[in-house]
Amino acid sequence: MSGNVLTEQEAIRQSLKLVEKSGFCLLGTIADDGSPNIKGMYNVKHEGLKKIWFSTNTSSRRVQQLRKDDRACVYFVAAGRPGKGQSKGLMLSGTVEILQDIESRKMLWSEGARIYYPLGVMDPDYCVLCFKARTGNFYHKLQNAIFDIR
Amino acid sequence: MSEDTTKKTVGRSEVVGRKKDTFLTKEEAISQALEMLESARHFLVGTNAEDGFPNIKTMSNRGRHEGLKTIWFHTDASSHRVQQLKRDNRACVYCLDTKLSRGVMLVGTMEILHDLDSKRMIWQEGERKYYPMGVEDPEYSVLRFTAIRAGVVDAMANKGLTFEIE
Repeated sequence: MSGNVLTEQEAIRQSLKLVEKSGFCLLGTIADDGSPNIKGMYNVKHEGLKKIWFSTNTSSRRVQQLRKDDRACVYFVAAGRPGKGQSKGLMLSGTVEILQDIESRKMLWSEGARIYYPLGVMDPDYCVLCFKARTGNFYHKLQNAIFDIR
Repeated sequence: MSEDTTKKTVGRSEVVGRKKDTFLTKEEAISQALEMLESARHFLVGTNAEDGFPNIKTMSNRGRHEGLKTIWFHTDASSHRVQQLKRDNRACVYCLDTKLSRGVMLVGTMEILHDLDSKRMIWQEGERKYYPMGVEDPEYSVLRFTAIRAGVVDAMANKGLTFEIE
């Protein structure tokens, strides 16, 4: 069941819709031992399908992994209810940049974050991850489309 | 599409984040992980693609597992996933409960099985519409995941634990 082919335009349109309405997504990275890892992340800020930003602790294992291997994927899913149509999914493949400049820090900062970063927006343990997508793979029912992100 | 989509964030994007120095006991971690394995409708399965990039796909929970060590999945013999796993069998199985703020990640390897006993074990009669030859259809295949390590996070308790699976 390799499925039919969606047009690229339609796949991109539906992908954007899925990203817009998703409260969270899954970030896939490669661990030190080479095995794939997954973590659930809130979908806080994105620029189309091209860039997705997250914030986290610089000291986290995830950030250490990304310094060694910046290859990643971000997966969005709308799981269908049993008997009520099938699930939709979008996997974006790309790389993650670890940002600590003031502009990036301020972009996702809120005062409530002080509980994690007592030194505030310039706390060295605060960083921003910018995922940059290269390709997308959208599927719905038994159809799927792979497209480049420009 | 460059409009500002920033939503309220509390400083960490992890859906189930925790402090690094507060731990669940192994018994608590195992019991939470088993509960999630039993109640989840879908799992997120991570693999390494041909280009070395990580991939994620949803796979449905067939309700077949042995503790945290072994989980069985259904797939198609011709699927892209099977091709990837033939090259690199490392995989992870992730499960997230947003209501309870809990997450579990199992890391290990995935085997592709074509034997009839394994196929019968996970076969569901409703699948006949996709596999006209039934459980013996050569396209109907089984993936057996074997975990070596587990990571469990209970964000409400702000605790977690990573442990080896014997």
